[in-house]
Amino acid sequence: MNARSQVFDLTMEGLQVDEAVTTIFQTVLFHRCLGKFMYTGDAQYSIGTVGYTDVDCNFIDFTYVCCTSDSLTHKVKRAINLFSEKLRSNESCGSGQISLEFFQKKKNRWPFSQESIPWEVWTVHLDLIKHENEDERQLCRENVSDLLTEKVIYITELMNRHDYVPKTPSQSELDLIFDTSFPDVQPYLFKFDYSTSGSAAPSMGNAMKKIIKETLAM
Amino acid sequence: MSAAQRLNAAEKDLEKFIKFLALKSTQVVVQSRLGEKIQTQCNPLAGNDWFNIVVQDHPEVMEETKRALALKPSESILQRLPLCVEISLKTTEGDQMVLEVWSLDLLQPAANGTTANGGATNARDDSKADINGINGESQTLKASHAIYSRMGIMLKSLISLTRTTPAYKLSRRQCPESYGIFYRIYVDRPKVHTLGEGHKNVKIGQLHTIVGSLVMSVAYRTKMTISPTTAQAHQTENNIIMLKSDHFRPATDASSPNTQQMQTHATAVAKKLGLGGLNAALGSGERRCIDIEKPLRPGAFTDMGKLRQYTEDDFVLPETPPFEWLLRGRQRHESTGSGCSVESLNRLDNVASVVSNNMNNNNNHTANNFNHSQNLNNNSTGFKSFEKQQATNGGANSFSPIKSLLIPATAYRHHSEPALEPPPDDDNLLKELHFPFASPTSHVNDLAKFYRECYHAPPLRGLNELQAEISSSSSSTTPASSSSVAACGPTAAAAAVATSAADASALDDLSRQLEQFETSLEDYDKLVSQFGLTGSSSSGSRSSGGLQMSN
Repeated sequence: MNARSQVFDLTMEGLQVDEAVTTIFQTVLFHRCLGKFMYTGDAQYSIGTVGYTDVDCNFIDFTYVCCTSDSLTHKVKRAINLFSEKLRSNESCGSGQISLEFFQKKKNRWPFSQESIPWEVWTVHLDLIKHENEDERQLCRENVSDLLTEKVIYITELMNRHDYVPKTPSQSELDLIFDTSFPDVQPYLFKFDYSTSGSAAPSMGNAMKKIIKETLAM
Repeated sequence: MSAAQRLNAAEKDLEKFIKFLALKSTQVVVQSRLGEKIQTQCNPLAGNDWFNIVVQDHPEVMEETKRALALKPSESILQRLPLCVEISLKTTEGDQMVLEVWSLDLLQPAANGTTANGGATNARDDSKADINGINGESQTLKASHAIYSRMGIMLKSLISLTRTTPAYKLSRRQCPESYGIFYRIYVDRPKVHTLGEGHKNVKIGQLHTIVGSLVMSVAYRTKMTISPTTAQAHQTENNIIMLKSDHFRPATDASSPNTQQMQTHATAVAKKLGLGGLNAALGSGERRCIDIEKPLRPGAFTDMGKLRQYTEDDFVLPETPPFEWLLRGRQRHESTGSGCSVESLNRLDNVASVVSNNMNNNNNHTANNFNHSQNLNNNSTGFKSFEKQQATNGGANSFSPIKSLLIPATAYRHHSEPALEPPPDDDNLLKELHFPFASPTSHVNDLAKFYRECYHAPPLRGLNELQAEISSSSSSTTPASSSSVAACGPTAAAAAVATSAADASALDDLSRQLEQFETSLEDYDKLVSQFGLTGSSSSGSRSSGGLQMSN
């Protein structure tokens, strides 16, 4: 299993976390969303169209683009909000990461459950800082904006590489590749994962936990 | 279907895709700079939008793009790339700054390394074809489908990136009171040099296809400080301040009954200078006009004939020898026609002409007198040739009858053969040869005299007789002492053209001698004698007459 992995390191104020992470993830999702497939036969389908929306950030001088889909926006927002609250809570040591993972399902024979194989992972690693005064805050606002510009450029660069993306399946297997739960768009299957432990290697522990959890779930 | 046909069909598809990618790209870029947030709705029920992305089409942008592409029905878009969208900012003060250039280009197939990527694409296409389980025909279709979806991603990247460059923020903040954002669509290499120092290049995406490698990229400005001088400095360094070629015409055209006499004269001479300018422009090819006269608008009673348009050449400071520019005018005269000598002399006039009203009136008066006599001398062929000249100029000015004064000047080239036709009258032009600010005692006056004498070769004897007639006829009507002056003019000028070839050889000598003359008056006298001006007496009187008028 060798999924592509991208890690972004960002440092900012707590208030900016939601918007910064949303910017990155929505940009990725915008590229990873297709129109809804309408099958006319098992192998024949027509594809719906994807609308887009400009979203202005409140705490960062930035505008990002996302798919015009309330349900998708809501899902992304909720996941990021959970992470952000945890990161900014009193128990947190001000550092954490959240990842957006694209995966495809693989059917297993009866006793085993479906297997999820990630093929692309986008991780944002965050360190929180606190500003002493308004000047610093303003400066940071601009810095974060520049930083996000850089990240969006990087994302588009990666998206236009001819990297692996799962093949478009036949109708019966569509759910193994795409998330068909949205009424207006059809992104590749994705999920969010986060951790807010301040340790230097959170990913390793997290990965272990995940493996154990998955094993138990079986 | 044969393989070749299939390939051809695939290419056709591809061309169509590229065309629509180009059309949609310009829409995306321009719409993102309108200063408003955009929201388009998804259409899950298979909308007709290209690349499955809902991008509204602004008819104006569409029109602009199509105009820029200028595709003929049979023409392929592949030949019309790169297509660029330039976004610029213009302040209410008129300062302009190019912010970014978005471009869609097609690199030729030889230049791309498609081995790895192309392989991956093919694998994908094949698998898709397998899924569909249809015949070979759809395989080609599927290949184009892969390209289609890749183009969709490219377009999405474009949409995302248009929101990140500095121009986006500027466009969102634009308001009519401070600045506006403008776009320009063109088919050319992206003009990135307009983006200033330190501009950034970002490649949005690259797509390898059978017709070449499609590249979408943006170059944007990073230094946003707008300094009012940058535009000017840029212009002056290239010397491309454009001067309205008809800068003085509104004044000359607006003739009132009171000033008509003066102005008709002025029109004629101005036109003459224009002709000279045109000839010179045709000769040297690249002389451009520079507008330093704008602040120096001519005064109410200025003789428009003394004003001229400045060209680059005028801004070359005279180097050694000190008055070489006088000779330069001469050189131009020889190469481009007789009109330019006046130009070079009048160079000195620009300041003085404003204050030389008296002189102008004088001038016009005498000039008008000679018009009568001179009209008799005009031959019709000369008139025609002038008309033709004027037609080629595209001059919309209607000319007073006095314009015919100038026929001889343009016809001189035909007269350069030693034919003893009635000499064309050139008095008006000679009037222009005076130096308005040169008082009889000034040094420049001497120089002017000298120049005139050198400039005009001795008149032919036959012509002298003719000139006597003219002078006698004109002296009866002219109050001033200018009759002889004017009379000598045409013959001298005609002779100058006739002997221009001989003068050319002496040109180098002249420059050297001029230099000598500056230091020594004796040298000057010697020089005059050296040129052996047999008609020196008549020339002398002519110039003194001219000087009287100028004072």
